[in-house]
Amino acid sequence: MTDLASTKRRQKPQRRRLKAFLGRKVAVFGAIGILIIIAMAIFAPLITSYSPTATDFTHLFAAPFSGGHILGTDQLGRDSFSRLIYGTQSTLEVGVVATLLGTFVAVPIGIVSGYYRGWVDSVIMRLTDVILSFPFLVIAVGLAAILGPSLRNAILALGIAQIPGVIRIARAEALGLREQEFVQAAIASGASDPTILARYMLPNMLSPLVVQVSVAIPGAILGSALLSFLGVGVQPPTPAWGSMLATAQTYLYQDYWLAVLPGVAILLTTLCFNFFGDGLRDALDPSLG
Amino acid sequence: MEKLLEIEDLCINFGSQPDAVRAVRNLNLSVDAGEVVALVGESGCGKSMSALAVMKLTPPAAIATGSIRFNGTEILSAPDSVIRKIRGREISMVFQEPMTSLNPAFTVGDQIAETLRLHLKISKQEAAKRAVELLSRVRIASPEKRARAYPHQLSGGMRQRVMIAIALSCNPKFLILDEPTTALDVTTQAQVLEIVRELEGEGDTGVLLITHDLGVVADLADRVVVMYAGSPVETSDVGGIFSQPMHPYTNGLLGAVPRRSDGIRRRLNDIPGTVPVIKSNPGRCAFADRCSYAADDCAAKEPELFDIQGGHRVACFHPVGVEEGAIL
Repeated sequence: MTDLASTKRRQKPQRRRLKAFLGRKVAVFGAIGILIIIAMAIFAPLITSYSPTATDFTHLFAAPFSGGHILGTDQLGRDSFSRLIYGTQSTLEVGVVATLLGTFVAVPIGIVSGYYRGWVDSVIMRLTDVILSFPFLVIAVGLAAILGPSLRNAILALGIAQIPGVIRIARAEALGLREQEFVQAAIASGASDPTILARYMLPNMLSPLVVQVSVAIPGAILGSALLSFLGVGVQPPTPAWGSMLATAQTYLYQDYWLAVLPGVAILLTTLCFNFFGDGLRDALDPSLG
Repeated sequence: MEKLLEIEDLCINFGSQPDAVRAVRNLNLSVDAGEVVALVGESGCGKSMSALAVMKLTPPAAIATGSIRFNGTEILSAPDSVIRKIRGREISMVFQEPMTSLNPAFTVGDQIAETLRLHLKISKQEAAKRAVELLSRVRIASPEKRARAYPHQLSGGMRQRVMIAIALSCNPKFLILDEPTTALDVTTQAQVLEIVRELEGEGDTGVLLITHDLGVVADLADRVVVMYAGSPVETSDVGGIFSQPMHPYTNGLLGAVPRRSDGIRRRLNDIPGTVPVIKSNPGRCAFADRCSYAADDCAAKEPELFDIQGGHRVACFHPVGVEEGAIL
């Protein structure tokens, strides 16, 4: 009898969470989708034989499945399939790097804000309010205007745009954690403030932060598509879904698939990340465990 | 001889003067090395606040005045750097809630080792080894295995023993037990008390035991301070409190302990009313409203502690079992 009880207790929480995650079909669908997208970005040269930037003026606006081009060609005769596949690289790079950048900057600020409260908290929170009151497009366009439009500046703009939200999440978690008895107990055993922040606050807010990251990535991907659609993101000739969409506008009546392809790619990618993030949130929900 | 811990005229107020809430009023208390002093009272009477003040852990809104001297150091005016060296090294505290007092993100062995390395200059391996020793000292079976367990994998009683192991890790001179057994079931309670008693037998650690469980008091304490509404109302050695409780409040507390001889279906005794919140100087006995012995003089002025016999001190004009007029 005790054996049964102790085996049950010994089951690792990681194991239980994995089970909860795998139990959700959409979450698994999202995870597999993300793996495929990552594979596409890494193995792009193996998947397609066409260069994404090579023009072929003998095949302009080729229809899908014609002349050796699976998804046809665009107005400069570039292979659409190649451009989609290579576009994954910049899309993922912007989405992931911008989110991680924003998270790494914001989490320490949020923890400090929530742990110390008082005037430190007031100053930080008012500053985040100021950043939040700027639409991120204004920041992005402003940055592009000052530093010139590029992939790096798109990442920077999207990263900055994420900071206030993540600060708030980390702060809210820190506010709750600082009242926990184990933090009190740590202070009572003589732990210094840096120790408490690094070993007591941060590790105990990882679950909500991981969920936040997985939900923020699709937002950043949409943002990067928007920026390159407006021409202040990834610059041609580097393929990006947003700029493909922007160019395709002009030819919407005759060659609608040029717009449909990157649109579907953006839709599927964000959907996969969102499904994955939702599943992760359910699996890591502390109220279940 | 210098006492290990000496609290003099400790007052803890919340808010600013005229209508500050007076959580602790004029607490005097001393603990010798090797002595167990129990602080007893209902919820909200200032016991825990007094204990937190000893470690300078009172919330920022609380204003503590008076003097707390530990081993020659004045705690209330000491800078944070000094306090941090005392906390966990010289004075340790065990909190009431074992379920939430451990960091869920690390194994208990890591957490014991962390406190060790914080105060003693020892290597990681040495700390890990000592952590296992400490776990076996608090009677945790297969300590090597348990040291690798996360808090959620342990029961409440085991977690409380881990807390005690952390508190004992640096061989502190003084131990504060804040309701160490309240959250535990009776059998685990007994085990935890056994560990504390053993500790008392082997060293000269001073202990401040905060509890409302009079059974625990009778079990462990050498001296008892009964607190009511922030101030001490009766102090005595443990025998005096149980054989001849003099303050009506102490009598009420003892009367509220259920006895097997009471039989079933009998209402439990209680003290009517609740602990009042004291603002400004009451100028009257704080317990008078709930006291069956109250007379006119109780409302006229606040009684002070005075010695009735051989160190048994009571703050009451009409102590129970003492002839009217024998004092004054």
